[in-house]
Amino acid sequence: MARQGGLGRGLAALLPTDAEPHPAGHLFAPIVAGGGVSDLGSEMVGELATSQSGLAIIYHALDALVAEHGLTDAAVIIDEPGLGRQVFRAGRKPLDDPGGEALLDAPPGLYTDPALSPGTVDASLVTSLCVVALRMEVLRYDSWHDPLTGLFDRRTFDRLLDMSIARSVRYRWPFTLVLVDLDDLKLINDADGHQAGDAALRALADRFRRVLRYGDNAARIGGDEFALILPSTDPEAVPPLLERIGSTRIGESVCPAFSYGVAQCPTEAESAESLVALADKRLYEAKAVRHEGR
Amino acid sequence: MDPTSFDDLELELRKLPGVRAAGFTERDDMLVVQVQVAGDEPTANLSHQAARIAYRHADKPVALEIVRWRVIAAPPAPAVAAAPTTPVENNGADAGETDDGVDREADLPRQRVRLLAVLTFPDTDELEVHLTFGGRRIIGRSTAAAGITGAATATIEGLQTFAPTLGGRLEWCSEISEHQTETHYVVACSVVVGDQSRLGIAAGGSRIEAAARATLHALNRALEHLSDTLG
Repeated sequence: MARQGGLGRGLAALLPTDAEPHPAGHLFAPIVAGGGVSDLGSEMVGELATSQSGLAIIYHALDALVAEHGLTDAAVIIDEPGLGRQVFRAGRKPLDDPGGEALLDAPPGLYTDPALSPGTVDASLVTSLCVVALRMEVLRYDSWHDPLTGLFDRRTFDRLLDMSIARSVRYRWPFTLVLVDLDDLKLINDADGHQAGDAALRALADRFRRVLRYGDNAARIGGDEFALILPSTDPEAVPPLLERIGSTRIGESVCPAFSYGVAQCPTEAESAESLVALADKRLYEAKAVRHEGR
Repeated sequence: MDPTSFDDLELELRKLPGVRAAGFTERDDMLVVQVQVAGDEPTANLSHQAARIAYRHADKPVALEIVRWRVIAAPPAPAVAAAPTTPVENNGADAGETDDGVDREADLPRQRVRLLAVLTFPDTDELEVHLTFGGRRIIGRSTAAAGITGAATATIEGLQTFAPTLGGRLEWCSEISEHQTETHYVVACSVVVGDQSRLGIAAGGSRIEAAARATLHALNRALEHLSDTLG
């Protein structure tokens, strides 16, 4: 089904002349460069210095543009190495209504519906600040996540654990910490190569992502070590959960073997060190039992 | 949903190959996620990956719509001038058009029922088929353990919400993929409508998605007859 969206006056000029504007479409128009540092640009610079979320900065800017100038819509298009071509629309709205999809192939820049007078907003500055904000968001994401598995990394886990303990101790909200160790990673690496070892780590991480609930957190905290923070979860509920993780099939791959140890906060420990130490002790007890069973 | 989780959801979707935009709306306590993908990018597993990302980050039911755009050449122009190009077209590969393998959309001004997503919830053994028609979105439900039969049944249930007089009963549903890979499955089915059996066949990124598409294929014609009552 061909989708002929609404091609606004400004955007239509960028497209073949035989592309008919949709009568019901938005009238997106590019903002021409020019003008001084606008209030919007100043606000964005301020947010870049204080906000942790680059995406929030982009959407705040677009929403502010719409609100301050009484617009119907606004969007920014970024096309940068390392970021690719990205279209952001005010309100995080989907592009799939009249006019929106026409932005997909338009040149990078700031677009509004209806058009703003030249010089109202420094479009090139705002667009560049959106690029910086997106780069900041990508950096934030990458610094919080393990690149191999996509789970949270050690630093994020430490922060999440501290926050969980503080909440648990203050409000008596229990949570369970599970330390998980992939069995025989060294053997896999030695026998089948490091790619096979990496694949085993990813396979386990994928199953965590598949099975864990919203609100649970999983992190890779060491070479073959993972940690799960499970709010409002009794320790008795952990074995069935991990059994389900072990039996989850993703495509043709089978879950690699793993061992685990469990500790609960605040009933068993109220500090990160003691909680991790307890879970770690139980993990190694489980590993010992596993080795004896071989 | 907390803001960081929302940001992570959007960023992870935008990091998928070819994704140019992601948009969100909330309807009936459901998060509707729309992902716009450039048509010239590889497609393997994209819908799977996007569904997993959306499911992981959302604290409510999610409907995922993947819209693929590509530039297509218009039919050869009779004049000497070069053939014009149409700026954008949705080929519906992942968006779940009721594709029946025949490009008849151009002749059909009416809207079609589209498949947004087929989701399973292992914790509760639920399966959901998300459909949309004319801006209205509904969910057909079945049990995940029922597999492709469940997906077909849930699709029929969803279609009956749009068109209560449709009827329809699943006669059989079978996977017919010869070479099973993780990215391509083919399912055929037969749905009894009135005194007629209607056959459908479709491919999908998963067995249950293929089953839902096959069911839509089987009921395409019946839906066309009922188009006045749809919605």
